[in-house]
Amino acid sequence: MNRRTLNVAASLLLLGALLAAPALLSGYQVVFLLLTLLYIGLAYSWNLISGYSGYISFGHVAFFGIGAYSVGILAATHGWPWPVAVLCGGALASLLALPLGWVMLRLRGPYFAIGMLAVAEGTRLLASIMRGVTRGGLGIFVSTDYNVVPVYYSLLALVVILMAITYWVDNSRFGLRLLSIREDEDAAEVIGINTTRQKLTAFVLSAAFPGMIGGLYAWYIGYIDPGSVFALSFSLNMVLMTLLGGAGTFLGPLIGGASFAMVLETLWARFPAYHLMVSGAAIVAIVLFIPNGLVAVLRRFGLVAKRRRFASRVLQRSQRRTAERDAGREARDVTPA
Amino acid sequence: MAFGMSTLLIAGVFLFLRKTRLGKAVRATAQHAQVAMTCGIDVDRMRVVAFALGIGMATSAGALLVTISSVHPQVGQLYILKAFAIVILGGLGSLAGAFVGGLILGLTEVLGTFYISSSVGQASSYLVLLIVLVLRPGGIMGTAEKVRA
Repeated sequence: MNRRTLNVAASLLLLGALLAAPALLSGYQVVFLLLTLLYIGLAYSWNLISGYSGYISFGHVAFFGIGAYSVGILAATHGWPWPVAVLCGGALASLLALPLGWVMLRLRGPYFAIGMLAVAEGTRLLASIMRGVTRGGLGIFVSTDYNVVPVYYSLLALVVILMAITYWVDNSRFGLRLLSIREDEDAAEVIGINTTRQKLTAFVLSAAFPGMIGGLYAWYIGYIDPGSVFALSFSLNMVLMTLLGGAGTFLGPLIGGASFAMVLETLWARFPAYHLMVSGAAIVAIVLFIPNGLVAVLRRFGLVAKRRRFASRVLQRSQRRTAERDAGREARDVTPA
Repeated sequence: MAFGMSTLLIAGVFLFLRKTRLGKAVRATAQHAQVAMTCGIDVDRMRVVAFALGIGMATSAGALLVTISSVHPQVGQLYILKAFAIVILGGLGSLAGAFVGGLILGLTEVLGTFYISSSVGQASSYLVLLIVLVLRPGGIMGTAEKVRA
């Protein structure tokens, strides 16, 4: 109980600090926090499908780019208000994820991962081919205003929503079903889980948020072209951050995204010429020494709960039920006829 | 020149994996590591051999590329994506699949570029990949067994 109040107090304190940040910090620091929130949001979205169900997607940048282009086309070219355009970006991304997931989620393992990579590349090339709509390689000038503060608050709201969704997934039967798919999909099917529906739900859910985040990114950065908003590095960073923090956990994307952004920024500031090389070496070191992510390290030191609380509760309940049933049967068996 | 060399290399790898004892051991490791281990195959060593062979092939391909195209530090990115796509197209763990997949992807791209435009050519190769995956989730030469993660 004490632990719980402590957690709530710490989260509220963090949230308050983040809410107050734009008023207190310098422009550079706010932009840094904005990018950190962007990364955290992307990591949470990716975690919803890939962390829980084990379907590693190398193509989530497709949804990011679709969102960015929605804002570019709707807000900049047609003059829609940007929050509406951002929401439309999210809706469009999840709408496209429905048929896409229906097709792609039949693939397993590396076939799904590479298939999604092909999807992302395909959308990037589509964006450069459809010149009439997207202006192709010329790109779109989205906005010339200083949009950092509204985008910052919108991203903060999205991250909070994503954390709430992840918390729910982490503590629900839906999440357990996804985890069972990750552990053994055939076995999950055998015990009566409609695996296609679970995967598709998670996929659509995890596509909506990169769509909105991409839209916000476009509104913040001001100029988009196919190469920059469909960049493969966004997909790879989502994978990296989540694995760094711990895939399929509630806190993993938060910790992974925040530390990733911080490490990247520090390296970039210290070694302008070599920062990608150093971060590459850092990634290799992390994968070798903490393969289960930072959350696993925290768990070892007792800072994060060791077990999935919801899962152990369900387990206990079913064990109790089995015990009661067995006891009843024994009682019946010993009753003389 | 590059064509002849790469054909020779592919034939060499094919013969190595099909005919030699070492090649057989590598394939056995890929099929089922535990069974291979019980047959007395040094599984870790086979993985090193396979990894080294793969790197050797990629390096030779890069060296041959110089004869027909320009190179720069980022040149690999273009090809790694295509290599992924080809392997998945053909079916993981199938040499013939990689060969057929490479031909299909290369032809689609070149024909698309020639008849329509270069971005359509590149996009159409991914379209082909997706169509193949929908129809045959394990790749052209892959068996249903291998689809299991």
